[in-house]
Amino acid sequence: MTRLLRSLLLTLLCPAFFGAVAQAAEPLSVEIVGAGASQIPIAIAPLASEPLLPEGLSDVVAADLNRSGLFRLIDASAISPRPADIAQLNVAEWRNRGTDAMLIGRVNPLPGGKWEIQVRLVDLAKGSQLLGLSYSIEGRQVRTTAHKIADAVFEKLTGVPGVFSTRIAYVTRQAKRFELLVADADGFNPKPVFTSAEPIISPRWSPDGGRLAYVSFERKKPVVVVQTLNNGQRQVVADFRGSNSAPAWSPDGSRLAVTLTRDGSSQIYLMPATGGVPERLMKTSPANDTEAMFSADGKFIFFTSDRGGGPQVYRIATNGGTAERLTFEGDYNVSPRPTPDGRGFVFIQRYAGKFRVMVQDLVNRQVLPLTEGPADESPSFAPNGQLVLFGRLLGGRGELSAVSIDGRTRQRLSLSAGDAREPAWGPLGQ
Amino acid sequence: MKHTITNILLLSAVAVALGACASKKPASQATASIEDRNAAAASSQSDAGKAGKDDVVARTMDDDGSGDVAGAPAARQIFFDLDQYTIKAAYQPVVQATADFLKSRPKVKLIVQGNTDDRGSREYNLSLGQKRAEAVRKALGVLGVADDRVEAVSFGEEKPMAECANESCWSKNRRADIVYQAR
Repeated sequence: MTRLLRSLLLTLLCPAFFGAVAQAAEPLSVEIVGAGASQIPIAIAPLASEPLLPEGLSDVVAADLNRSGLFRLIDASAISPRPADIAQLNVAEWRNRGTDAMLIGRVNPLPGGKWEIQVRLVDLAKGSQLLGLSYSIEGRQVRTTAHKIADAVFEKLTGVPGVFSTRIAYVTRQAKRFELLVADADGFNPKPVFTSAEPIISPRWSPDGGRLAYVSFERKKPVVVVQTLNNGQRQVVADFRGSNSAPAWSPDGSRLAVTLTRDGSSQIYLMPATGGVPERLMKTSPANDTEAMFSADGKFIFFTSDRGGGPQVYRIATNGGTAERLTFEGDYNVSPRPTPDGRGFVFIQRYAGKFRVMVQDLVNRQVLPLTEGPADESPSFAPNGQLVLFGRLLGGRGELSAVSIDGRTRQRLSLSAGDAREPAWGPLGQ
Repeated sequence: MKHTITNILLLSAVAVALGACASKKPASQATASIEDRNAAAASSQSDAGKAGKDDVVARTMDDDGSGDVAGAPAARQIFFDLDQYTIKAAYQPVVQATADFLKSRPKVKLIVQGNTDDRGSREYNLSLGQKRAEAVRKALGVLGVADDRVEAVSFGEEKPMAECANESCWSKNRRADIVYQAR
């Protein structure tokens, strides 16, 4: 998880505070409230013939890269003529403006109301092409294509996959109405998944991105629901005596870990994701266990337990064995989420009365704060492991925030109305 | 069943000055409310330690009225101290009255809903609310109530009586609600 940090530190560049980028007209706007110390300078030129498209493409690419905090945008919006390939680009001029890389390209109309999008990422130091991509798209696919281009540029220049094409799920509350929503990672295209007069918590994406598991209080008690996104079909998979909560998908999508209280205290069980007979994970657990989360390789289950008094983070092999305590600092450590690369985990710690996002390295045991609180909760990893999305309470209102795994870059995603909580970042390649 | 549950406000007999938290309560729901001036609620409230200064209390029950079993004891809330899950002596009369009623009405069942304040992890708070609900269920069991008549569930921090940011208010949310179900 420190690979990107190292590569960035090796890379270069001046710290620059980005002005707030707010898209006020959108239901979920993104605002960068801080930026990393190392940013790659890049220019995103408008594409030749881009005005033919029904909506802008290059500005979406630029907004994506800007939002990551890892890039410093050099304004190329007034470039004329618009270069369609390297031969038409004045490489020396843009290099002299302090740009390391530049995205250029063209739009070609195709028969049947389609378009061909050609983009090239240029290494201005060498004057050579780093990336050349072509897409044949329909008008409704402009934003999607822009996100894919941003992903490719991000991966080429940072070495890790971009997450601009992914989706996020979250819950909003407006008065007594709770709504589970899925939106693009930039907050556009929010679509309701489930609306209820009762609370909804803990949405979790299936590994293929096709289903959401979540906890609904629709039956006067918490039950675990799995909902298929493309047809809206809902299945209550866990409604056992007592409370049913904290769903977590196994990496292959076949099983769910859930917390049930059918034996009295809160205990973790494994069950088929399509419903069925739950099997208790730890037969002799002495206390309350909950918040299970599989490691990316599926070998471990991280969880919260108060077996030692206060809540602490533990892990246990999925096929059994002895639970290992992982957190020792402080008396309240909860909500563990293993990093996608398996090297560590983030969690929520109560420190001096404030709840903040922490990251712990499993190899060197180093523990670092990523946020200062005061009321941060429900962390969720971006699938590339570079960002942690979480909920925070500000003035009695919930909002979503993201912090880079090195703690340097912050984003704020604020809804125009109501409050947002319980974010979950979806997988790559949905 | 898909009953929706709604908070219905009850005025307790203990008249205490309304705090900031209580003033946030949706008074507009008064059309569906039932005034509870039961003496048991009064006595249990008055000596409830740190949580005993509550003014307006709410209980959770169903829109369709299935939570309102005729003749059921009006005292249906048990408050807990911070990080505590044991029933204080002050609330023993509430448990006793509940057990007595269940014995007199063999067809009535109940759900005990545990609740917490809103600080910390929502899922961990669910498990803490469950501990409060379980404590009530076990106390009823000790008084002879059959296990299958009481279901202990948790709402964690999701059903606050009051939305707040200070201790006197948080204490209202650390509670177990008794919800009767006539069958």
